[in-house]
Amino acid sequence: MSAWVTILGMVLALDGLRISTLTPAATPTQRSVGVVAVAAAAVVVALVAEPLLDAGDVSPETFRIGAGLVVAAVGVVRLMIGVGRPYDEVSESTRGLVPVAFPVALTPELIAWSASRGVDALGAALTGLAVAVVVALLTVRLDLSGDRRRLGDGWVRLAAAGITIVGVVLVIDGIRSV
Amino acid sequence: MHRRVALAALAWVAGLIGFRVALTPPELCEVPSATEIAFAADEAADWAVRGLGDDGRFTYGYRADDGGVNQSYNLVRHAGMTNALYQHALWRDSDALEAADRSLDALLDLLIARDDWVAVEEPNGDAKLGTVGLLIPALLHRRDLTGDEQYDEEAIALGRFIVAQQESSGAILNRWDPDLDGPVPGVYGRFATGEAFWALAMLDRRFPDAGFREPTLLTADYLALERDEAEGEFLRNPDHWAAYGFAEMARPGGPGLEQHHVDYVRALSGAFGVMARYESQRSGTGLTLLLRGNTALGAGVGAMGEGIAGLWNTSLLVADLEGRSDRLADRLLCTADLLVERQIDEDEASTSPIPDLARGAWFSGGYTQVDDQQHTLSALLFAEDALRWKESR
Repeated sequence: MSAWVTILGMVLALDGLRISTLTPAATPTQRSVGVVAVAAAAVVVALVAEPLLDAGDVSPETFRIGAGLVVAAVGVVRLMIGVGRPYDEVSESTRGLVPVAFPVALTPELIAWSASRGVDALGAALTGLAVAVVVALLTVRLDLSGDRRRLGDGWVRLAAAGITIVGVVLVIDGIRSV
Repeated sequence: MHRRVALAALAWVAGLIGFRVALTPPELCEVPSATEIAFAADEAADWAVRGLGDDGRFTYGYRADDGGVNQSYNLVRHAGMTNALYQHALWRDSDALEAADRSLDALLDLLIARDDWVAVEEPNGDAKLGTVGLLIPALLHRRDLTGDEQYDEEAIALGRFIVAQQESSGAILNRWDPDLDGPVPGVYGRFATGEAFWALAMLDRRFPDAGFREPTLLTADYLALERDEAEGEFLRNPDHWAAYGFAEMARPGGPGLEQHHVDYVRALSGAFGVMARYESQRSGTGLTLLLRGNTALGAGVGAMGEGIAGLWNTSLLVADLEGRSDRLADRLLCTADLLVERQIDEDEASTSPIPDLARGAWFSGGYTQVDDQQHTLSALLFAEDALRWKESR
């Protein structure tokens, strides 16, 4: 799998427009903090994935199939339901980490993709996460509340198609590997 | 909001558990020791030798619970076990030679000749491609071991039978019928073509002037490009014999592999990789029994090991596949470990009515058959080689 696909998967999985659409009550700063926090968690996942898989007696090739299935399944579900119901409040006590970082930004596809690519291509995974953070920090500033929510929903469905495709690519890669 | 967040947290926990249990359960294999592999191989060979009758036929099948012996027979499997014993004699213990020769004689007694070829006559008068396809490797492994060339003419004439069954596409018809005085049209064996291909490739390397190069390449192309679709395989046929054949083609004196052969070998290695990983997740008990099904037949796991071994051998000889060698060796050793763990030992066999037919065997549903030991024996022999290769790096 090429580094470009790895980076694309990261950008799609850490989706600033989706975060903006789902957290209309959060400020751009709160969203940015959430993005950085989740990206940091994804970096940790990418770094520790290999020893974790070793400890769990899971080969990277098998994990690729499982992770790819998760990513593709999330993509299909999101393609069908769209962006979902937004969170109308923000927990001030957590400085917006709830719900921006969790449960909105921290997604199964981000963790699955980070873990799988971290094991197989750590450099590309970390590069992808860096690119994804930059893109997300730019896009979380957009206001997608009110009538603009439809734009966010359309984007989320488009991104979901991309997520589905990269998930399938990951599954195929796992199947074709020894 | 708190309720939604709590539900999301719960979904994460459930999802992680589900992911572990259903999608990525542990792959339960280690790297077995050389001693363990060698012992398991010897035990499998001994099972076959103990069950070999005066007529040169193997005990075909055995039920562990009531001691029932299956009285039916299959000459393809007989030829396969004979070949496995020669492999064992060649690479590990030449004491197996006497038994292999006895089972070989039983096949040679059944040879029938037509035109310029010979084949093995089935009880109904037919001749099957698979029997010939495995008898040839048996004869040639015997030749490699002993240097005895007394069966060279038979081996070449058997090869001519395969060529006579071969179609212009490279497909090889599975049966010859005396009533038709020719091949039965439109009938192909799922594994017989690969067996015959391996035999042709072996003949080509040992008898370069006997005219087997072209038929070998014709069927190599057919396997690599057409077979799965032409013969209605939904997924790729995990053909371990084809893997042996391509390894043979890659060896010195063989024609080597073209790019489409390499692509096929690469795809086949993916198929065997998935199979090996899946099998290593099976324990045959508890939740994995529900989610992964029962452990595969000994013959199935053994054939998988043989396929991986063939691909591993190919990868050592083809530069484009070099990157796969290490992982293929890992998968082969994993398969060997599953075989070592699942083999019936002396203590377990002692409770069976005929312990000699239980010891050293692999049972599925309380039953073992000669091919359970045939494929596993060959796979274990290659696994010894893979372990040495890993340790030497």
